[in-house]
Amino acid sequence: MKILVVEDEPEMQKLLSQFLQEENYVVEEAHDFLSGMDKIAAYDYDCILLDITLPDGSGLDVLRELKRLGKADSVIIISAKNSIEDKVQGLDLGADDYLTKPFHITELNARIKSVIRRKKADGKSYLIMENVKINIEERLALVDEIPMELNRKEFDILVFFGMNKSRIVSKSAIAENIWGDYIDQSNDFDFIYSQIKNLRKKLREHKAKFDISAVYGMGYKLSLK
Amino acid sequence: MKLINHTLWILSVILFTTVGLWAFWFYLQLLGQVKTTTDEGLTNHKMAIIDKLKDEAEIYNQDSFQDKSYSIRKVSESYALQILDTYKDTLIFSSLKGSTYEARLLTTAFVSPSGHFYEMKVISHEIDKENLITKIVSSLAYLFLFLTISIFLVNRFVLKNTWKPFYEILNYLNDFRLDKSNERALVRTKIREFSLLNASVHNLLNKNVEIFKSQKEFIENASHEFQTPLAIGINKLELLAEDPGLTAGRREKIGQIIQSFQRLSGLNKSLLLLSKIENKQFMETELVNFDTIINSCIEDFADFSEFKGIKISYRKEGDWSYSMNKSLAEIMVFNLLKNAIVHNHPQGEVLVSLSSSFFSIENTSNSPEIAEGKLFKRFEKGSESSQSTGLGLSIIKAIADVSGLKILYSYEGRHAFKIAELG
Repeated sequence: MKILVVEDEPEMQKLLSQFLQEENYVVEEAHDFLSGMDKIAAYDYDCILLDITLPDGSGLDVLRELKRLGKADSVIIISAKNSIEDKVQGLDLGADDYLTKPFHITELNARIKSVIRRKKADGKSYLIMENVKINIEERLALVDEIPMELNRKEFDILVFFGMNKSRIVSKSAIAENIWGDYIDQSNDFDFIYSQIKNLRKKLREHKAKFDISAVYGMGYKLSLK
Repeated sequence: MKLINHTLWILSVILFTTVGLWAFWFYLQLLGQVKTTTDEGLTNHKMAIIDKLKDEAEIYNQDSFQDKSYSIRKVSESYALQILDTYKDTLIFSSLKGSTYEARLLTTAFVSPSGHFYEMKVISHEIDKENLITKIVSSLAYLFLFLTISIFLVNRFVLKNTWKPFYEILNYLNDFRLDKSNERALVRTKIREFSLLNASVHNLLNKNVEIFKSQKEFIENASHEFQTPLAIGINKLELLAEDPGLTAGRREKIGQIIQSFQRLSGLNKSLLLLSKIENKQFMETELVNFDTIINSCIEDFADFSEFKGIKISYRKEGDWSYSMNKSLAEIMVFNLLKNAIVHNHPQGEVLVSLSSSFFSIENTSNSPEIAEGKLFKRFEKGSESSQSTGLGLSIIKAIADVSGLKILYSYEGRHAFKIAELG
């Protein structure tokens, strides 16, 4: 899996590369508009992380060029601008997703995985977590091939953990991912506890080979049994 | 009062007073002239009578003015000598007409060729003053009527037209929106004052558009500049927290730092939102249905309120749709509901009611009534809410202000906020 990061901020670039490498992606970097344009013309990527505000041009023009070249690379716009117009414009130009800075690493991870998954589009790809198989499109969770009944939020939480298997997932990241953008302003995320508790109970009942354990002061993490 | 009417009003008052005073003066002048002419006529008449009487042998006393226009009375020499020619207005009874009439009377004396002294009174019909006044007043009334009509016509057709460019500028300014590019050009006019005004307005607006643009850019850049380092900080800490070598205690501390960064980011977002609202950058309006928004907000908060042990009830008495920006409507309801849950006590209640022209959200709370001055002040926090930014109510107020809504707060054991249409 090859990912291009177009980002002018060196620190941001560095940490994104580090994280993507941890997730076993091959990472290429472009630090400005021109090198971004060069890279998209020369190579194909599974996913492009695109910053809109670049010192010598707009990320939206990179996106336009990509579409003009008829390439099918998935694009996630990463912008500090949280304006609806920019979001709409980016998505209209053919971006697959739009993420506003600051974001949680786990959220970015989940978004990258979903756009890559969507591109494959065979509908048969399962998200595998030990003995648990999840079909996201059909909203189906199987433990040892036996279906597990989950409500909407429990399912989404499980998927979110599945996409961040080795990572600590913060409460606010879960709240934002499952309950939506607004709720992250609540500053009090303990309310997600009851859904997590129910999900853990169901995983135990179905004898899943992993558990969701609390990381004190941070959030939760998947742990093997 | 319109400027046209104002000037016309002053003009009319001055005009009508002047013409009225002039008419009075004119009447006096006319009357004076008529008297002088009458008196001259009387003098001539007197001479003619004396001339005629000179030839007569005997002059008889004649007491009344019945047949002639004079009366004659024989008087003593001493009496005659002290008579000076005097003119005066008098009333004469006419037995023919059976009524009195106004007349000018000349009293004089003369001596006959035979050496006798006589007093003679000569009269002349005088001009009818009442008639004269009536004539002048009616002419004046016609003049006033004519003036009024012409002023009205001038106002209606000439001045209206003259002022047209002014009203066009006004309309232009009213329709002007800083954030919407205004392609409509100002109307050209031949009148110098208006074309100067046009040019000034044009300059002023252009400058403002420039300032607005640069301010908007500044805000966006500021947001970018803030959010990027925050993003770097948060994400680096998130990666650091996954270091297996960390002790639980250190990981917890990292978690706390992340939380502070997130609060800072949230604060930044709220301030940006506030400035965007106040800069009227949420222009697109549509018919927003509050029932839909309230339902979805309650749904969003279901887990949160359940966790807090707070019961949300929704009472729908009517359906309210209102034309405003949809995102702002959602943010407004969301913030009000969030406030009602956050500033509540465990096992508390939140009551949302919707009617056909307003909605209200009331909640139980341990905190006392909010003082009016502190209500919508930025960064003013309730006692328990160390987590809140203190911007929630300011944002709600700003949204209400730009959307033509009003927000009312009341306290009767429960805090109640009501959002209603203005007027």
